[in-house]
Amino acid sequence: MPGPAFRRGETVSLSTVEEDDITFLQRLRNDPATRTRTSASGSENADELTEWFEEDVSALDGEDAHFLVVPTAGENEPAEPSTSPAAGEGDGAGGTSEGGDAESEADRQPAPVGFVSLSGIERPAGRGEVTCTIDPSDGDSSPEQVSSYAREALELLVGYAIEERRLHRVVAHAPAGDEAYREVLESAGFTAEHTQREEWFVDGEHVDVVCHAVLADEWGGT
Amino acid sequence: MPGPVFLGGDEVTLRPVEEADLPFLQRHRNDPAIRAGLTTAEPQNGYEAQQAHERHTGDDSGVGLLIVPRDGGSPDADPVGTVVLFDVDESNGTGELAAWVTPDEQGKGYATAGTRLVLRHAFEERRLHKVVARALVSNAPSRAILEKLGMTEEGIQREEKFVDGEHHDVVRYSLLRREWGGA
Repeated sequence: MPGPAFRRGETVSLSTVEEDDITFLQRLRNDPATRTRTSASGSENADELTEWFEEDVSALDGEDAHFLVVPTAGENEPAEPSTSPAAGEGDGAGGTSEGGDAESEADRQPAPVGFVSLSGIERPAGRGEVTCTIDPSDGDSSPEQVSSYAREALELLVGYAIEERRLHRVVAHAPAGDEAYREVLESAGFTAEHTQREEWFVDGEHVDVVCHAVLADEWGGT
Repeated sequence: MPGPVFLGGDEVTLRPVEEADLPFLQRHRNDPAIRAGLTTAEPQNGYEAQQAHERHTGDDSGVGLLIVPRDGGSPDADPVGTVVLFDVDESNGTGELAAWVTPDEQGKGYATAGTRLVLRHAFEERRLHKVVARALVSNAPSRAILEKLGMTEEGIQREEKFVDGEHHDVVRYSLLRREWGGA
């Protein structure tokens, strides 16, 4: 169950990642269709995800930030208290009730449709990198909807990075052949900057990667 | 005193850092002329000075070495700089390198020789596919070294580093294993 909304947009919000969201992330980070480039170790079972959640997502030091992308309530039907595909699996999948305002708001939240992160922050330059993975488990998962969610999620995340974390430069990388994601990046305000030749090893071959960037001076906000 | 030779060439050898070398590193890292290369001072030499274990987390299995000239053949010659391979990504087969040489030892080819040895190590021992290196766009001497070694200018990272009170563009170079001529 996503935590409270951290940054709100028109169609999606960014919400904190809570422990019982691990099952959603486990699918996202393992499914060949969606697993992100940030999973350096490869496959991740529930224990590895839990460790990642505790050590990376929940790290008290460091500047990385991770969020779930959650459609604005009313966009989708509110989720059942347990949003896990396999109810009863993992910790807290049943949505244990402890009361409190945060928990009431979380109950009303629709299921997450994706995950974004801000990492690699370098100071004093104020440079950081963002990634975005969208994969609704139900509801509309057409390419248009996925791109729309991704664009707004990235806008929210970049806005957070520049307006709250005082970053000067935010980068995002996309395989040169991933036209859809490159268009999302450009619609979210990024400029394609340069091509890194044979930078990533994907499906058995080295592929070019395009580095996109947006500078604080260019960021108009939303 | 540098430890045993790790990589050897005609002009320089590269040795791992020993505890006794830390004062040398500390003194020159604090030298405004070469301090932290791209990140806190405009470099006068070399292209970037970062120790991998200080800056980069995650799967960073690189190497940091001292450059020791072979002049006169003394095995106990003092180091003149460092060269570092860092941000090694084994799944992609990529790594980045950086080096610096103290101002009074520049112009003698030490950075070029040391970098060449690390490139050979990266391609022939570490089986990397691609090595990158970066420099401030304004750092002509460092860029000349990278170009002399056959690296290709790949692109400009706008306002990537903050030096002397303002942001500066960085130029990224790369070399692929099939372009590595050896020697």
